[in-house]
Amino acid sequence: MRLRQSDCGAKPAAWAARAGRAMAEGTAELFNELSFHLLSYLEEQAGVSELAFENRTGCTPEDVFAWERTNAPYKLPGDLKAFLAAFDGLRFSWRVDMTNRGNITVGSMRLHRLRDVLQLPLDADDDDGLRGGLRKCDDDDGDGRPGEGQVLAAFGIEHYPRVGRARSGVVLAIRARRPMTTPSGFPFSRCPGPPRAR
Amino acid sequence: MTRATLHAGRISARRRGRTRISRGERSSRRAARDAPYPQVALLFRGEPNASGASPKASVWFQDLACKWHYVSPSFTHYFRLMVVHLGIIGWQYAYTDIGLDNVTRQWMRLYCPERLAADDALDLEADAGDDAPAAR
Repeated sequence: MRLRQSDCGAKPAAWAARAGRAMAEGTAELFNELSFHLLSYLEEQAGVSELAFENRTGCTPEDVFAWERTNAPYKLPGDLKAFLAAFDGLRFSWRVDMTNRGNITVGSMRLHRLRDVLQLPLDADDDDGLRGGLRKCDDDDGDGRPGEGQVLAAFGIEHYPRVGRARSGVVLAIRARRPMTTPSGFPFSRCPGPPRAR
Repeated sequence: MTRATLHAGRISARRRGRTRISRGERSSRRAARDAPYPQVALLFRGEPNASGASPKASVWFQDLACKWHYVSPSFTHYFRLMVVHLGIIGWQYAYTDIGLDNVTRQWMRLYCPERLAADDALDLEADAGDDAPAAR
């Protein structure tokens, strides 16, 4: 399976062989390590025709400080800061080659850059959903105490790819080594049955 | 009917139709562009205080109907969930009362069937919890 990256034009390589090398921030190698070898796994899957990963260097502590100063009193959680130090946002998608429909995007991870982590408007209509969710959220704490405090602000960190919008350019492309279709056609036997009654 | 008339009529008819369609297309495209779309947000909650301490943050999902759903208590949890779902488009719906749509289920069945089973088990637990009588 071939794989090319936008910025460095990396040659096809086995991710496992690269693991021992020093990994620069923002690269697909580092993301592969952080994501429990997600890229290596996807490479081996049947029908996967393209992995698109955009290299992005991490943001500086000054950038984070500036963000927090702008959005005071809100501060980014430590884990998100650590991620942003390695990757300023994430843009990764993978496609599957289907005989009748061509290349279609199946998976997509699009975390915002720090500068795009913006406050979302919360209005009165949001109250119901947030209250319902807060009960679950409080259960996760496991302390058995009721929820404390009110919702103060929301900052967008990821969004869906919009249907029908073309990407500006293919970032990295691989050719399917294992075709999706079997000689008898699409593997319907592996598809789920009709949805169960709820 | 002369050939010229026929030709002109065809052109005008086509032009009239094209104008009408393109207006509709334009407005629908504009509407699609401006419409809300699902997104994930870091949601801060807690009591506002003057000490400068940041409120607690958790990760939430806002669906197409702009309804909020709780996903995970931290970004690390969210990232791990995203990875185990292989980033398959629509996986966040597993953590909503709407549930996964059929297309997402199909891809998950192909590429991460164990996670689909786990999500279904989670769903069943939630259903059982809803049906169970209240504890006394």
